[in-house]
Amino acid sequence: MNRLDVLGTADDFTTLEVARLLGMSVRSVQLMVDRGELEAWKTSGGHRRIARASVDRWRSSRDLVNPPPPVVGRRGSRPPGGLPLRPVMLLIDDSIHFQKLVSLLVRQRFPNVDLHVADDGIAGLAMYGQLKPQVLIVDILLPGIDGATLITSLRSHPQFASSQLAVVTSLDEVQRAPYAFALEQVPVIHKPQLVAELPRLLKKWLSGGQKIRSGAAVAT
Amino acid sequence: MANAIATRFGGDAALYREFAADCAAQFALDVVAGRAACEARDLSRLRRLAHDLKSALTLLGHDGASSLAALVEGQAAAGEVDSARLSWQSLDTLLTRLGTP
Repeated sequence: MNRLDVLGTADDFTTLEVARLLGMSVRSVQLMVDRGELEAWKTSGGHRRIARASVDRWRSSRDLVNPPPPVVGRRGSRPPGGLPLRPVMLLIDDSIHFQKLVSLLVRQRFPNVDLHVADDGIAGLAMYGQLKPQVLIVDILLPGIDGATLITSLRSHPQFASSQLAVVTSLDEVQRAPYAFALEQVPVIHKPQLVAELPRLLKKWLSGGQKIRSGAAVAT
Repeated sequence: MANAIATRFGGDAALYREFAADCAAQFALDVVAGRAACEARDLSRLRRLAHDLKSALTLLGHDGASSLAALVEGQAAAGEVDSARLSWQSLDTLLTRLGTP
């Protein structure tokens, strides 16, 4: 059943309902309202209500009603309601160059992985909630919300404990300093080193990393 | 390019060639995007584009072009419209050459 159906046919949602629907934190939804991406009003008691139509429009514009198939891998590798049969990886990066490079690397060296790509932070947050990827690769400078804010938001997501996260960036160490608050204990790969470092990290995570669920584990 | 293949691609020449071919196609689109950003005096867009190009060009071993992209990024970040547009023209020429099969 579609999650919209579960929420019934009311014209408006609460912020929490939209957060659950889109797989985002409440704060992220509040930011979307502040940016005018969702239409909202307040009750006499000061509670925010978000127009269902605007949520529908946003989901349709992002193609989240029917998420796109992976750019590498195959559709339908997750049984309904179950854990994925193949590792799912989500790359959130607006650079076409690096989207292509990561796709090449995954296709060549990790053909068993389903790779999905999001072009911006907001779409990435929504896709994260839907795909529940075991591996998440995030760029720092993104349109919409930056990668550091995105990571902060993801940390409050119940799924986050089951995901492995790495950051890829063109920023050097000095340029990264303003984002240090979000990068603690997160592997950071400088993009010119991506070919050397990303496969090494993925190999470690996919060959028995503690957060990765294997197909065998799914079967039991 | 041999140095880039050895140092950035772990000796994987096939992967380098495939990535270079993808980049060449994308450079043509980047040139269009850069010209549009300059025309609109949109330094934010120009900065983001140059930032992205900087790393892609480094990976490919085009260090001169990468330095130029870094220069455009810095000038755009500093709000130096005329300098950034002028530097972009040089980068534009290099990208056009790299994007030509």
